[in-house]
Amino acid sequence: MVGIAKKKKSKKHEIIFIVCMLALPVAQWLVFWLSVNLSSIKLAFTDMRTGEFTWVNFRNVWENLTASYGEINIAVKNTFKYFLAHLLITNTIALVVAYFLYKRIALYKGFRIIFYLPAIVSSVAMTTVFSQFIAPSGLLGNIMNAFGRPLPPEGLLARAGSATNVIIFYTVWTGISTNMLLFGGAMTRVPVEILESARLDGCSAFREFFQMIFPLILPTVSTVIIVTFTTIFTSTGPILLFTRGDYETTTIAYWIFEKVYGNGVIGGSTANYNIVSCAGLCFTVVGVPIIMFVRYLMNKLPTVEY
Amino acid sequence: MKTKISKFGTGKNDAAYILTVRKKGEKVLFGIVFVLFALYAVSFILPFLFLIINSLKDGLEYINDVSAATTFHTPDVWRFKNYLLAFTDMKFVDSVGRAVYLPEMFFNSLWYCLLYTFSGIAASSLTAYVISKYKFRSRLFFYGIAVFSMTIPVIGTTAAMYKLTYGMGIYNTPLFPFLTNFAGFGFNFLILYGFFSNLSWSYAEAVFIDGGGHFTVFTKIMLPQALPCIVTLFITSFITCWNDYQTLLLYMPDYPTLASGIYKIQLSIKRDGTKYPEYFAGLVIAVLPILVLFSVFSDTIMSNFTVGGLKG
Repeated sequence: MVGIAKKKKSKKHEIIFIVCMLALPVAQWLVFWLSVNLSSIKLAFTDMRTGEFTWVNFRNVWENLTASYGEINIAVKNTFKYFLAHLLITNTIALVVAYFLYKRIALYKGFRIIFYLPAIVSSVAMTTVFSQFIAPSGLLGNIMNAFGRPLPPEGLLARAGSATNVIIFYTVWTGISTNMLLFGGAMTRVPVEILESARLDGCSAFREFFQMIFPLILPTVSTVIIVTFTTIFTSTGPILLFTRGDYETTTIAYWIFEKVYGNGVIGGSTANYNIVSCAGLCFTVVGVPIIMFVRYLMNKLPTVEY
Repeated sequence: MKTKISKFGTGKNDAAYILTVRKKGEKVLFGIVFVLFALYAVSFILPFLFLIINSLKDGLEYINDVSAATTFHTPDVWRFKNYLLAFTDMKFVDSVGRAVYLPEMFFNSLWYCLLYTFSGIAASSLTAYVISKYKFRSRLFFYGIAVFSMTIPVIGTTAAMYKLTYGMGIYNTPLFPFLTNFAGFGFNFLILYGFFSNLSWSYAEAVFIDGGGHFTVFTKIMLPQALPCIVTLFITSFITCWNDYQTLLLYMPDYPTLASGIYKIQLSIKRDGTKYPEYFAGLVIAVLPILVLFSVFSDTIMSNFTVGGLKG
């Protein structure tokens, strides 16, 4: 009897402990995640002026999306440009760089730290210097002058035809840091004994990478690909620092930020929050099945236990 | 017998020496890649060189150098005074007309990032520990919430979040970073969950036999063991927060940090080119603390990155 009472008391203490530990984080999640998301959905179906239920926000989003110079239309095109550059170029470069660092290229420790710098240095500082470099009077301007191909006087960031491409170049240039470390971390877990025996059998570096290392780090590669897909519509990049969305550089994430931020007026802009939430809901509905499908495909990839 | 040490410090008795073995053709490939890496590294060092050199110039000298394409020339007169001026002259005027100078921005960065980072990791430690170590009915539900929140992006909630923080009265107050980031089901949760799951429960049983309770196990046994993992998460989260300007522009406009304040100052500097050297000095000051922090903890950060995140 004493044993049972003791056990009951211990169970009670355990329950109290669990409740105490979870109470505040769960409350925080309910308020700042669940209620925010529900409220965002409600805003999408609410008329800005009357506060009543409406479909008008969806019609406005659709019209803006299908008009050739609509803000959302431009934002969607740019979003996919950023996404493709990140998925195909940045990730590939990160993978290749990680491989050569893993293979201990000369000065690899120094390179690894220098290549990680963009992740730790303020992007306000980086973009300031980058803008100076590519100005008509900057480093790039002078190089182009020397080749007899001067830059346009207004600069590359002040032209609709080039601004987005320049920002994408910047994001690729500074964007490999984190994925480089993730790929590198995965490579260091590959047993070197496997590589050693392959080398003794005459395996080349090319085959070593494509037939041994790449398949072994596939779980990390697929994680990075899924993360790239999940951030299609949510990462704004350095657009605010370069152009503030001018010269057709807007993306969906930046457009949402800009609509809410306005000109930085205290208490928020006078923008139509309902259309922002409505556009967000539309892109969530489009994005979630894509992400689920990509996850499904990634789960189908063969994985190797080692 | 002496072990032959290769160029990069790997002994032949170390299995990892295989990573440095190159065939003839590969040596050429590695040579080419080395040159490309060196150029890529220079492209990151040049901006710092540019900032430091030009932060020490006179305003007019900087403008002349820009038009004469000699921005990398050393200053005629080294104006270390610019660093002092960055502290005393560079300012941002907030919504009530109060001037905020660099020292205050530095102080704002410090407390904001400490609050932000501490609250995020504290909440994740609580949830990750309980969900990984206690077998209760709804634990899978909570784990599902974390995975769902991480992998399914809900887009466009900024407006709703803005309205909520404004309505709650935490908009533009120090409560904002603490409450909004006291999130127990995000990235930090998944990392700490993995870490706690691998810790042995036998330590806890020993404490229970000695009459200790659940809180004792958590605070005295489990948390100290998770310290390396927590430190890594703390540093990476702190660095991210230090450089974040958008969240502060949106939700904390009257508490400019070095990142958001300098962004605001940049907008006014563009109208007066002679102020650029002071502005560059301010940028160097803003970057320096995080570079020092990174150089102290670089090994911890570099070695703790692994599959899908960080390891403990």
